[in-house]
Amino acid sequence: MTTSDPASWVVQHGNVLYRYALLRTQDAALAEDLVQETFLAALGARARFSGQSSEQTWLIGILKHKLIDHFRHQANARPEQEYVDDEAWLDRQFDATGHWAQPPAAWANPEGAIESQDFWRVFRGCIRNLPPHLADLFILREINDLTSQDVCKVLEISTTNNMWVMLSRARVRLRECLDRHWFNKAEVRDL
Amino acid sequence: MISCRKASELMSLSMDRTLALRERLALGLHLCTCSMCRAYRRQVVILRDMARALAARMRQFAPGEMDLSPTAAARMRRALERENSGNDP
Repeated sequence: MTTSDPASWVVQHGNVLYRYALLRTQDAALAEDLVQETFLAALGARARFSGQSSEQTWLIGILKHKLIDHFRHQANARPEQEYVDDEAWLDRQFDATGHWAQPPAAWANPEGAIESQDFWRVFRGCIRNLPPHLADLFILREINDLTSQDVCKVLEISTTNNMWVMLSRARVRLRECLDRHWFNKAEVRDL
Repeated sequence: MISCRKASELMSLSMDRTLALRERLALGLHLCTCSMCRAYRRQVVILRDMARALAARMRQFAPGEMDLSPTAAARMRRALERENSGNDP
């Protein structure tokens, strides 16, 4: 069994692979890189394509490995400082007695927000502004609905408990970011 | 009485697993008197709904929406051609 002409891969499978990667990374440039790496890896492994699955399923399988490699690499490359900064940021959200330093106020019309393109741009921006370890976690667990076990394995988080602690931080941060950039955005007065 | 910080952890946790009776009572007592945490509780639920909505939205893209950019596609085609001609005899 052979694959089709690699010259046609980009046209035939490019968009499907790109969307797959974009959903899992929320980062257009990174998604493009991963798709390109997938094509090049597939070219090298073409002889081993068994034809048991469709060509697209085979390519998605390669992309999955690229994604896992990416997340593992990210998890390992993280400087200790990132965790320290994260802790310090959280400390600033609460006063000495553990009460909110900036009290959460109700969000008006979240149903309306999700109909707006602008809102989703802000939402994605807030995810990208998370410290990378929290962004990856939120994307895989909350957006892609991966199981706790899979998330911990891919991101090399030692216990489910740790994952819950991290998710809590991600939520405090996202809430704060959406509040500041959308729901309770301060009016621009002097422009 | 638990702090808002602790309450925020329990509210987040309740999204991921069932709280123990002791946790539920402590949180319930706190929420009775804390409107800020009641607002936060609604917001963590909304955050989950938004994450789901984003995933659904990305899966039901309109044609042309979220396509590989022509520049990226061209770059990939060139890379494939280069590799391919290099490997073939």
